[in-house]
Amino acid sequence: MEDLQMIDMLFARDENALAAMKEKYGGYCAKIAVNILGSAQDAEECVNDAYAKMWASIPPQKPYDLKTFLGRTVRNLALDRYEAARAKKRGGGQTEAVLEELAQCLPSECDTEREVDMRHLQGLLNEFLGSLKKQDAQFFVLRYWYLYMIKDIAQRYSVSESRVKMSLLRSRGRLKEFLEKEGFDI
Amino acid sequence: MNEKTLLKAIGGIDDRFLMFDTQEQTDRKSIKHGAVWVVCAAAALAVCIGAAVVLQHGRNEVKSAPESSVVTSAVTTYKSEIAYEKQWNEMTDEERYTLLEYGGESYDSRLSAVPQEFLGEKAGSAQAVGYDLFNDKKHTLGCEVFAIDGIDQNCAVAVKYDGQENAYAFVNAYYRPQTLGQFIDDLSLEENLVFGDIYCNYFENGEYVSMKYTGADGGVIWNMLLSDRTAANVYSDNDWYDVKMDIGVDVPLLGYKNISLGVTEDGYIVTNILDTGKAFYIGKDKTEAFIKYVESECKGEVLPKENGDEAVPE
Repeated sequence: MEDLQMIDMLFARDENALAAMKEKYGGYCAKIAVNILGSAQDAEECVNDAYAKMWASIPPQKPYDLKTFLGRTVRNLALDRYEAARAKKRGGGQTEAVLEELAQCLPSECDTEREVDMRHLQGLLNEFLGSLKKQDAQFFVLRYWYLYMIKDIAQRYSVSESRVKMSLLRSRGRLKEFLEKEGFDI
Repeated sequence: MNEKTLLKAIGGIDDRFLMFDTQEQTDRKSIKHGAVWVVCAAAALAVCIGAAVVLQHGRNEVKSAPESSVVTSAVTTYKSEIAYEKQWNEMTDEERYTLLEYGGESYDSRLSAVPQEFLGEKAGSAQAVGYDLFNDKKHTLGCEVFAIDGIDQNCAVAVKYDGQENAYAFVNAYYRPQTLGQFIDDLSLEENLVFGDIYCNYFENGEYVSMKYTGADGGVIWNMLLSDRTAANVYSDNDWYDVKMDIGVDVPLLGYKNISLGVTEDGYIVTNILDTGKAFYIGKDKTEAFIKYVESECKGEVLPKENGDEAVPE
């Protein structure tokens, strides 16, 4: 079923849209959630929450791209769950490793207590990703947006893990330099 | 700002960076022979996601993941394996130095030894590069670069690290042949390509079904799919090649096992030999005829479902 048709069904309050989304994007959503949470049960609950949120938010929202809208919803919900689980000392998927890697991208002057202009930062990230080679950008997105394991990325692209790691290492270094150059020292 | 803020900010990047073929990679299940093809429908993610050890950079220690991250049944196949990352001092030279810049080309190691009898002329000397990812350090090691018999140097070379007898295959993922004929010749595929079983994945009644066909004749594959030497390489990362059947192929000389030669219903053959996509348009009549041949002449069996083949549990 086409995405536009699903959106139309959601606008018509037709619950079959949810079943269609599950069929088409169930694996995609579950993968994101499992990558972040590391638990199939938590991931399942998270994905079901995401469907409920989609039902509640469309309408009035009309996503330009249903798949990425759904993916973002899952990612945000999973990160919230991860935070809650972490507070209870339950772990999750790739999140710890990814956070440690991302810490290397932060300019040393960064003050962890101060708030960040999220829109400005996202704009810089878009600019940064646009400057990378296509495959490097895709590795970065798979690792830090989808939280894929390095092994999975390597297998997906039929390249060695070291190639993926090196691409990510270089991209992290470039991001750090880029943020510093942009005066991102808040 | 801290790393959590950065992780959340990354969640807000433009859709354009997310709009590549993730859906198909994650939704479609892995074919048993393990070929993973970036663009083809046979691509998969069903493989094990061992969850378990995360690296604590800079401290050279590992932390065990909590039990909750070890999943026995889920939306994909999970195993309780531990993904242990070797430290630099635990690696052999061939594991350390996996990158080579030579003759204006970039090569990656296949971690596969090239038999001595296939070593060609010495092409020159170079420095192989490796990265100690725990300590963020680049290392180099001198090496000799050799041609591999029957393989164009733009495609692959053999590398002997200083002080070693074995030579290892390094491939150039950015090699792009103009035609199918050039591709066959540059890799001497008539000698080096080995065909395996044929796989077909499809979605039926809400479930993934995987079929395996055995008994395909190699000569028939060559005649039906690989005989049009003028077929141009039209591959683009932005195109979607909806692979109907996927032939498992090996190129043992370069260390490739169970990778993919895909066949689409609309006339393309696609492969990930040398790590990046190549697609040749040979005509719809030929690919349809091949699919019919496999369905009628080869022995087919439905593969049993693996854990995780089901969609998201209701």
